[in-house]
Amino acid sequence: MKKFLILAIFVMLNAQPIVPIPEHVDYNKDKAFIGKILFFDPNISRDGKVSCASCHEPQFGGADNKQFSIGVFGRIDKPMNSPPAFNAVFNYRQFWNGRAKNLQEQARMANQDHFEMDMTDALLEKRVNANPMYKKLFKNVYKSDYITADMVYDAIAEFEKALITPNSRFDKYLKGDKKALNEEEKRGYFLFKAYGCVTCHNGVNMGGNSFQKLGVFFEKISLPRGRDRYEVTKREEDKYVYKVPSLRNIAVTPPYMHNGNVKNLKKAIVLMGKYNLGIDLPEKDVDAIYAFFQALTGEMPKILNKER
Amino acid sequence: MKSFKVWIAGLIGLTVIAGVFYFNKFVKEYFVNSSDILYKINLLKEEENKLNYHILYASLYLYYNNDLIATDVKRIKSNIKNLEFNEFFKNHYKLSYERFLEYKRAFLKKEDLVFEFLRYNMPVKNSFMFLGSSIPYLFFNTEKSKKELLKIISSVFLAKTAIDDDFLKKINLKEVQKLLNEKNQYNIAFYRNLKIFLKYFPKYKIYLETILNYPTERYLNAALKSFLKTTKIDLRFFELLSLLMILFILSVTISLIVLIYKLEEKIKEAVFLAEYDQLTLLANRIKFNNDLKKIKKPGLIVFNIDKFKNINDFFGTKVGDDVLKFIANELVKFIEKQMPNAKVYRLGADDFGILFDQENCCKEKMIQTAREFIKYIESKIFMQDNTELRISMSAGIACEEPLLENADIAVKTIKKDVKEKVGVFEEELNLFIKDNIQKSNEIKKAIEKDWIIPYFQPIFDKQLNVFKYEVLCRVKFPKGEIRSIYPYLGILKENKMYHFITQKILSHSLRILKKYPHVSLSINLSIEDVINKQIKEYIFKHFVEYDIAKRVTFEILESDISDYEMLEEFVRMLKKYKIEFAIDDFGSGYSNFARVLKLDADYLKIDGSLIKNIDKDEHSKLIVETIVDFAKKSDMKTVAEFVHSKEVFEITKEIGIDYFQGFYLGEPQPEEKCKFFVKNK
Repeated sequence: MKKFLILAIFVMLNAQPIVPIPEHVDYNKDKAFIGKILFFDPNISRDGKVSCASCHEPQFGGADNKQFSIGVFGRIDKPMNSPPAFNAVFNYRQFWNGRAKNLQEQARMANQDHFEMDMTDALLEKRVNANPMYKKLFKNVYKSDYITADMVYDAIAEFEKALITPNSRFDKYLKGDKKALNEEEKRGYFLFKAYGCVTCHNGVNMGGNSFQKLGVFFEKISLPRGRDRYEVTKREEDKYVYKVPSLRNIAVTPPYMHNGNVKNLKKAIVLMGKYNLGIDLPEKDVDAIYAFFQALTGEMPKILNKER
Repeated sequence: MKSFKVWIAGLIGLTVIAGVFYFNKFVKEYFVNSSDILYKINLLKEEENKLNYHILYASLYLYYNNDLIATDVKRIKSNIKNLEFNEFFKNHYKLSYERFLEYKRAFLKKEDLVFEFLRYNMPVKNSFMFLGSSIPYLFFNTEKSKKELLKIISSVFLAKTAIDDDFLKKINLKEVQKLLNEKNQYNIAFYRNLKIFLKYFPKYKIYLETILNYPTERYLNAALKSFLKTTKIDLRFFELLSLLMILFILSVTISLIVLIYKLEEKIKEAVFLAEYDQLTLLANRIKFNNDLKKIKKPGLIVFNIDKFKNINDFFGTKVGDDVLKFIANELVKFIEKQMPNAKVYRLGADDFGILFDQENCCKEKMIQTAREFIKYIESKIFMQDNTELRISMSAGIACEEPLLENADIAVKTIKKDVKEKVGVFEEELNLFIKDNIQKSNEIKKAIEKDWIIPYFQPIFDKQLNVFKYEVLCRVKFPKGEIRSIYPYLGILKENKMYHFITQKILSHSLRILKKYPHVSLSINLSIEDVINKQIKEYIFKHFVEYDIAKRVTFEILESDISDYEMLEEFVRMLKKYKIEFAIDDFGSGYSNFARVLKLDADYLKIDGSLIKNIDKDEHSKLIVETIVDFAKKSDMKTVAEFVHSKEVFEITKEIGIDYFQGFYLGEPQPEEKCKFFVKNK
């Protein structure tokens, strides 16, 4: 009986659709330090010009401000817009179509993608093992004289775990500081829930925890599909199905949508209303939701400030 | 062979220990592993339920956090992975593991279904919410159309709440379109949302039902059932194994007990053989020594059968053994009655000992007991076949360590006494023994090192001319101390060493006789010497030459003589060579004149005890006069010994004694100081 009661309370507490970003996550600091160096190292791409940070820049919330990111030898993975690396640890799957189950897989796939870094495990190992600094660092942490590709992905993933942006004004509001949001923003949050945005944009990341179809209310969409869920499952009904993107730091991560064709956030709100709620949102409601979105920008990840 | 057995036993012991240890370790590991697996399977069941609950929750509540479902899925998958790579589970619970793998595959499909469901859940939920909340904003053409639309909305609510799409069958989208005035923005949204609801709801329903009824739980239950079945078989196996091990250990223990029992019997037997006399069945000397250590203040009575050797010699050892048995039995019976705390031992051939604690028994009681027993035994007549025997015994009592030796001394001492049968060891006895031992050692060494030297005491005639010399024996110790041989005589005779001394004296005498041709010597011989073959041969070889023989007199102790016939023969033989004989210490005991006459001696040396006080004692004088008279009549010369004063010399001369010897006239002296040897040359 007592157990049931505790469970009931737990469920009720968790019943709020959005949860604040925790201020700390557990990660291995030594591995993350190596990961941080690797993250900014262009040498782990085939042409030696593209690093992880090229497309996941700290100043743009862990994404870039381009519609399409530029990979090695100027290759462009049209029509995909780069998703932010910040808070990626909270996502159920990685990439727009969720083809990576975790951060390690994401790092490997991005590293080996023809349009991104175009590397192989063997080439990666050759590059990092040629670097005495890496050799020393990995030896200290992984206790191995030879750096394997898996160790590289693991270190990068460990660094990415630390890329969280807590303490946005909205999170402060959720944690009890009722003054953290102004009236307009509070109204925006209410509308966000009332219109049903929260049905998909929920959880810690306000998204990232389910796959949904873009344009439920349309029989046909003329947008380019790009790499959608269909690429993974090959099921007809999975066309135009994408991982719900996170709304965290949404104000600083333009452009929007999977193909980055919407540069204006308000326009993105209006479009989502049309595509997936079947509603033409009134302008003042769009403004309120827009205002609410401004409160979703969190602090820069601490690991980026620290020397190590 | 013996060490081989020990090795085998050690090996069996080690095997048992290793077996028990390994079994224990194996069972422990088994239960740790199997309970871990059991726990994880049950955990999976619990997490499945939680996932289902969260899915249902997501479908019913407007606000919902998909993270909960994502977390559930992740946790279940990590658990699955954990079990999948559990080698023990994989190898030992093969059937259960196969079921589990089926579960895994089912769950991966379920995971896909869950996220598919979420895709349908979203539009259904959103449109449902919109349809409900849009009523106030809708624009209706007629009252009828309003009624129709409300009917549709209620159908949607019923369908959603009951999760039953039968409620939606009557809804015709085209008719709905006609009912709505398209100019109104909300009307348009209403139509769109209804359309979406109708499109997505059937699939939503199917997904939800499929997920909630998905056979993952059935597979998990099958895995669990199979797991428990295997565990049950294992437990039966463990039970059997334990039983076998218990039986094995039990049999080893029993055989050990049997072996130890047998060993104890053998040890008892060996101890009995070692500690008990097999003839009399009494405890022996080893046991005695062991028991002695256990008593704080022990006392001992030693019984010895008098002249037991004679019994053996006359009646044979069989009778001797029977006598010992008889005495042993009687002694045990007697002691049981008299001194229940004491114990009886056979300490030597014919020595029996009674050991007791002095706290229980005083010395008087001991003496009394010993006497009573001896009296009792001596009163009995031992009968064996046709032999009749009276056994006499002696006893020695000792209360001080070393008990056995002291009691022995007491027995030996008492044997010299005719009347007393029980001797008690006293410290003086011990001193006497020690003195004897010392003397015995001294004299042995003296013989060995040739410390035996002759002294010469002159014998004078009436005109005080030296007639001859008596050869006396002295022991010269390295530091110059000269001792008389008398204190050693007893020991020499007892140890059958007397003839060594005589031999020495004879050879010295012979040397003197040869060196000083005018000197005559009087040499002492004991009866033992006369009997001794070596001495006899020596005399007959060296002393029979005319020149020597005429100057030699042998003195024989009167009281010593036991075998007159033998002596007579000896004397007669030597007299042929003109050797003369003297009877020494004549008159000291019960002198037998007839026998002396028969010996045909030349001299009678009158005992010193008669001469010593002759000037004062009339009685002595009378005896001496008688002896002198007898000697004259028998044609024998007389010699007075012990002439220590002028008075004595005068009187003896007056009586008519022929020769004189004594300190008054001349002391015994070593060869170099005998002036007469030189003067007369």
